[in-house]
Amino acid sequence: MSDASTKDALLLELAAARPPVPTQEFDVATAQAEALRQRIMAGDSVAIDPLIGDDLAPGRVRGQRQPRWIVGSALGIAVALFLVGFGVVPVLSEHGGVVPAGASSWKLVSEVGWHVQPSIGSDPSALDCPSTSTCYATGLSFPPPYTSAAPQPHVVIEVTHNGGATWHESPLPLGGVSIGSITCPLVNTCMLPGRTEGHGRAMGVMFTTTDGGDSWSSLPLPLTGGFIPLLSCASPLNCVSLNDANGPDGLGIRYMSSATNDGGHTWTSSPLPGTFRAYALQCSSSGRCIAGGYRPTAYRVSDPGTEGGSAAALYSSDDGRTWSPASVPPSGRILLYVSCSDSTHCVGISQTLGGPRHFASHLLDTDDGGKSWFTSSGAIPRLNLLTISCPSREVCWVGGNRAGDGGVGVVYSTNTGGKNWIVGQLPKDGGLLLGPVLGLSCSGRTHCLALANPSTSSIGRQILLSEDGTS
Amino acid sequence: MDPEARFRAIFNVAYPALGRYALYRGVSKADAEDLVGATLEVAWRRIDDIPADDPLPWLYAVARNLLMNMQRRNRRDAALIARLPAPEADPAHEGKSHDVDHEKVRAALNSLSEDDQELLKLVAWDGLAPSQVAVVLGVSAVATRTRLHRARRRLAARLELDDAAGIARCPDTNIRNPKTVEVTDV
Repeated sequence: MSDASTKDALLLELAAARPPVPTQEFDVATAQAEALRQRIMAGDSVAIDPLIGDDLAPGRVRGQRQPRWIVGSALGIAVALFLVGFGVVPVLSEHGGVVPAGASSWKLVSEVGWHVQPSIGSDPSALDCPSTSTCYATGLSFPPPYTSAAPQPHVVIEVTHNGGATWHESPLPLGGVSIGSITCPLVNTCMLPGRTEGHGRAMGVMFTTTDGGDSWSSLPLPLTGGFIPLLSCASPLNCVSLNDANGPDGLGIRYMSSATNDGGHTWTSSPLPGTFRAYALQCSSSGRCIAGGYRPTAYRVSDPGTEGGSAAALYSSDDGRTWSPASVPPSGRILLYVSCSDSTHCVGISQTLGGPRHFASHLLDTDDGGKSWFTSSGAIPRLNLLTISCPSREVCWVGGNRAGDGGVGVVYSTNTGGKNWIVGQLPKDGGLLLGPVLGLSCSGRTHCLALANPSTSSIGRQILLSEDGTS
Repeated sequence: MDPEARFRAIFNVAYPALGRYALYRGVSKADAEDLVGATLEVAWRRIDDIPADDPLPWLYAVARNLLMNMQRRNRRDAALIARLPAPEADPAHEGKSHDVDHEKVRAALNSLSEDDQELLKLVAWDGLAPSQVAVVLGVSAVATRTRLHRARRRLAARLELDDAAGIARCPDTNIRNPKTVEVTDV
């Protein structure tokens, strides 16, 4: 056989090994295809941020004339931004109406050499500030170089006692541990759920500090599944943990609730109702606990993004010992983050999972301690929200990135209990737009800290921002 | 041809082609829909820039860039997705025989560099000619032919070495472990 025919045979063999794909997929004659074409031609953004999408096209010809509508749109945007900058025009509407401009303004504080995790847990943010000076951030430290070739990151807890000006690493007593979100019932007393592998089996662990992160002790935490448990502590003694376990027939997943009233020395466990899977947990000193998550149609559902199920919530009035299903509107697949300003008022981010188009977030409110949830009255643009901090019933902050794959960071705030939302003016880092805002902790209308990626391509470094109080 | 008529024509050709492009690269149906939609949205905005004679390579290039961005984002969201349980084995499919030859070829392909993989996939899976691949990858046609020649040789060498070494498979996935064989550049 000639060399050329060998090569052809090789490519034929490779072509035959192509993964099987249903031939009926992406048939141009379908209504789905027609709807997509119409949406695109109508100028409705379907998935990708338009400002970034243009940069992804190959072979751009310099000086080529742009279609008139693009030039017109760019000019319009520029004028609008100019006017917004001077507070001349409204920036966001509620129910299609308008609100006065007054965008919150943020400034760069510092660059940190660690990276908060996109947390899911009792605290809706990877950044928790129980006071204006003390903050805790849980995340990963990436040794340089900050590229994909960097060594494996390790878990860190970073603490500041001066409002973020300086941070120091707070060492845990155990190595090789994965951690969840931190929960701080007092300024200097915090708990942290963890999972460690030892002697061939996984174990849960609850770390506790009572001295602002100078030292940590550890106690066993119930662990029956593969995930890091959620943990929320209403006081130094009262904590609730939710962790996954095998479904009733040994297949799939169900969740267990464990409660302690002695600081984690003893725990009482019971299963959560039905197929509920927990993603967020918030407990208050009144004994009220709220769990946000997802209720699949069956224990064995593996992908909330494409399989059946809907956002769901549970509430407890007895420190997590018994739970009842809450009423949740059918928006989104997972009630992913919850922030409570008091024992009855909470705001949650309900989100779908899947491709960029499916990362739409909705805000849900409850005023009765999580028994019933309603879609927030104020409209915000289509965003991928990753963090929320609501210091009062009126004031709430959310952060994340614009919908699509752009990853451009955004912060929105409300001073009206969610009726109006105002976009935050985030600074640039070296001329580049900031990436997603992953951590947000606010104690009032103008006192906020946020952690954002410097750009979508960054690894291992993040930018600390503070709201500068000029809003 | 006016822009709308031209876009309709491009859409009819590109929609199924881009869908297959995405699915062949292992993305989910939902992500594939997003990728196709985003690519065609760029096409509509940049309709004047798309080569009139052969639009597909230009569109593949956009899709490829978007896919890389999507994969970067997915890595960022890995912690989120990792909380979801892995799909359990479907009892209906348990016990079925696998196409070992195809797995062997795909495993060998996966063990090559990402550049080599993409080059070979564009030719063998998407049916592009080297001159079209050159547009997708943003390199010259001559360089593409050279790289394709080398990539084919590396794939062939990998397959031959694998045959010689025997098949070492991951116990769970029945997929060849690429770390078991080291091949030097040929």
